[in-house]
Amino acid sequence: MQLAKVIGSMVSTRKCERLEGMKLLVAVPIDMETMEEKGAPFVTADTVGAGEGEIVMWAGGSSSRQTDLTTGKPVDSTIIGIVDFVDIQGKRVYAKSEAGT
Amino acid sequence: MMVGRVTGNVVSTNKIEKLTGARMLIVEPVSLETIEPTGDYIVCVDDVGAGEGDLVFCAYGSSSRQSDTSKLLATDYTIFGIVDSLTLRGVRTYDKAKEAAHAAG
Amino acid sequence: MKIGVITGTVVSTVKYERYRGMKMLKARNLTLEGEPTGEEFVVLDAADAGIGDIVLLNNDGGSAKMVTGDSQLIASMTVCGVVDHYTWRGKTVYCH
Repeated sequence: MQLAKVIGSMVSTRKCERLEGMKLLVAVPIDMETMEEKGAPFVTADTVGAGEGEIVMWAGGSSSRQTDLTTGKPVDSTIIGIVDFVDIQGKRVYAKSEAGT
Repeated sequence: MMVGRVTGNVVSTNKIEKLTGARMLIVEPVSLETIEPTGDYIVCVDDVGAGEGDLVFCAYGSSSRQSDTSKLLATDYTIFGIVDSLTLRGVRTYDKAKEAAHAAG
Repeated sequence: MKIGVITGTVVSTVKYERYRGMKMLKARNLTLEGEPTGEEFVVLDAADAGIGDIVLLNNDGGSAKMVTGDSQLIASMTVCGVVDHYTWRGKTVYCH
């Protein structure tokens, strides 16, 4: 699993019918030590109701189809959780309640 | 999911049976911020009837074989949708309707 | 899939037993301008390709299982077709 920050969304009407009702968000990878954005934004399916500005964890590849909402769906990246805290070596590097979103 | 622009197609007669009937399109991945090509390309199987010029999204690996048609095909990248719009940080970076209106002059 | 060119053959006597009877080739990826790019790699051939052929290279282990019809096979890159021609940005490139 990796961390990313939700920064936007994608809309598609003409799509594979198995994707109907699926929320597709745009996220950007996050460096866990600095919590800074690092890398190019990407499109990912959402299963937890994440919103813009939130730090989320996501899974890629076949693991992205292991949730009830994505089983058998053609998705290769899925948001599977919204991050509340990140602690590294006893130091709190991120707290959702303190992040200005 | 990879987002890219359809810029061409590939024709192959002598191919494996598990690609029979597959429409193979050339997709150039784009930056989601600028919608400019990143310089790479991928040959993708089309599952939605995409055409040249469309901005599409694709799934790779085993995820590329998860629809009724693609599950029978030996594909590694499949187009699963045509993008209508992309919004990043509150800014609309892509709008299909606007682009079509612009192209029509 | 990527478009590639077959650059050679690979012969191996002592090999993974599921590769027995399979043709192994060397290939390189091509840019859409037709220039070889990156390192050479070994591919399993499922489309009866030969040296110099422009081919479709599938880079997925699950597809390799489908292509060979062997659900236990472990492979990464397979040749899935010989390209007749491709059209890119309005230009058609004939490959043989």
